[in-house]
Amino acid sequence: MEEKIAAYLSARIEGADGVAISNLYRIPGGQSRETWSFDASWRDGDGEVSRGFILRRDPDASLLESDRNLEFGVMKAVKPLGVPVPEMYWLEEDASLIDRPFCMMERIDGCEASPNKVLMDPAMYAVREKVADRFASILARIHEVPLDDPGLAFMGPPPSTDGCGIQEIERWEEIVARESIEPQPVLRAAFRWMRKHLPPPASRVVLVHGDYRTGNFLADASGEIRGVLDWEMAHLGDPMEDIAWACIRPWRWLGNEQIGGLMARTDFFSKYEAAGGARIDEEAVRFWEVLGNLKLAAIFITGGRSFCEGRTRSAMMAFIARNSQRLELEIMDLMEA
Amino acid sequence: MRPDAVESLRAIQGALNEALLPELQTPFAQEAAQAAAWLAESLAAELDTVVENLAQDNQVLRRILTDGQVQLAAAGGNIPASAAVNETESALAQTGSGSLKISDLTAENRSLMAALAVMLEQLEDMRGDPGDKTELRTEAYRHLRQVAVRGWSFFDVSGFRERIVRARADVE
Repeated sequence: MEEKIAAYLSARIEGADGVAISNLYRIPGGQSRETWSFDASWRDGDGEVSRGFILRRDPDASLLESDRNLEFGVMKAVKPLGVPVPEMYWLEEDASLIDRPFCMMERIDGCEASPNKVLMDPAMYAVREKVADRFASILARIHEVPLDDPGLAFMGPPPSTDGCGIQEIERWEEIVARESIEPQPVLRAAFRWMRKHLPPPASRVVLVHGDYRTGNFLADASGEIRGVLDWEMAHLGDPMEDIAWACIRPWRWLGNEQIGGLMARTDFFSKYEAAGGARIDEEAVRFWEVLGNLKLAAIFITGGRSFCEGRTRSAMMAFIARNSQRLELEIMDLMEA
Repeated sequence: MRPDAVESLRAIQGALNEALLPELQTPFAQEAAQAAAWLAESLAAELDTVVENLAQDNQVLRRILTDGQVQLAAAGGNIPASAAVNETESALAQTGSGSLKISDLTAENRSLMAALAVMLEQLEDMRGDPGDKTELRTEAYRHLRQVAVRGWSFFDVSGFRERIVRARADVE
């Protein structure tokens, strides 16, 4: 793989001579894309150059069939708009280059992403308040991204303010129906519940990250969030969807009610609003929390099907798929069923 | 004494956690070994009671579906011809073979759960309010909650740590 990456960079980087790849290793997590880290060095007209890269490559099977073009396009578009993301370099659909389609981006060093590190490391504990502030304010910033920015034109027209809920119900209901290999009485009841408890129209339609949570950002030792990752579920919709996704129990890593393991729910809401975010509607957040748990269950179901049908032999995929019962418990709690 | 299936799974876990994980060099390999150890934990937590649970579940589901069939039929009109009744009749006719093989019990359970899914929808339509707490609906969700809190999940040591303790106390 090193040789293929070196050949690719030699062709891509103008004037690069003697490209060498080192420290190539696969990063855990990121079940929907293989994520690899490597160092590259080369010579150009100014001398020796050395840089860290991240390669995101299509997997053999995925937790979710996501759109690599969407993730690349959104991250490239929001970078100049003040949202901290790695710089995106290249997107390649030609599977012959490095065996499967991939994209390459900047590697941001000196940061932690794993919830264990971000929440448990004593050094990070001292800066948790700042991480919490930045977590809320960056989400507000994402929701202020102008949708008429030319870089986001590929996302198509936004839904109407009263169509956001139905749009996501239909998206995930179709996935659950298509991917389930066993009956889903709780999930089916939840879809019916959501149709009868649609949220009020969104206060505005925004760029929704779709997977904004502890575990999907890079925080440095000062508590600054230097990169928001995993944009493959980004879409246009209701800002409360991101708020609720950040709140769902699976992402409360410490096992108590702290949102994202970072802060109390009321603190999250007030920090987000104070940073210019949309007004929080708690009943709408409840709707979107049901949707969030359903969405995660749908992702697990998709991974489970891939495993059961032999498209992957990943132990992680099998394991993850065995955890959906707890999501059903949470959904029943939220529906008060 | 010969180690039984659960004890053997514990041996696999021990090898993964104590011998292999500390030796693995890359984070990706460590994650894969960790997932395998968690899978073993999940299986070990389920194995001893899986047949008993499935047999009891199927018995409970058959009772709920039989009661539901009566309620739906009593509602009159076109309800007896509904999908719920048809699905239930089909599920009840196909199940109850008496086999204790996990695969047979699981197939039976899936058939009954499929009928339950349709019946819950029909009961909501009949009552007009999905939040309506009929006795049958309450019993169905009590069963679904019991199933949802079983076994061991990674979430039990992360986001659901406090919730799962309360949930288990509720269903006991």
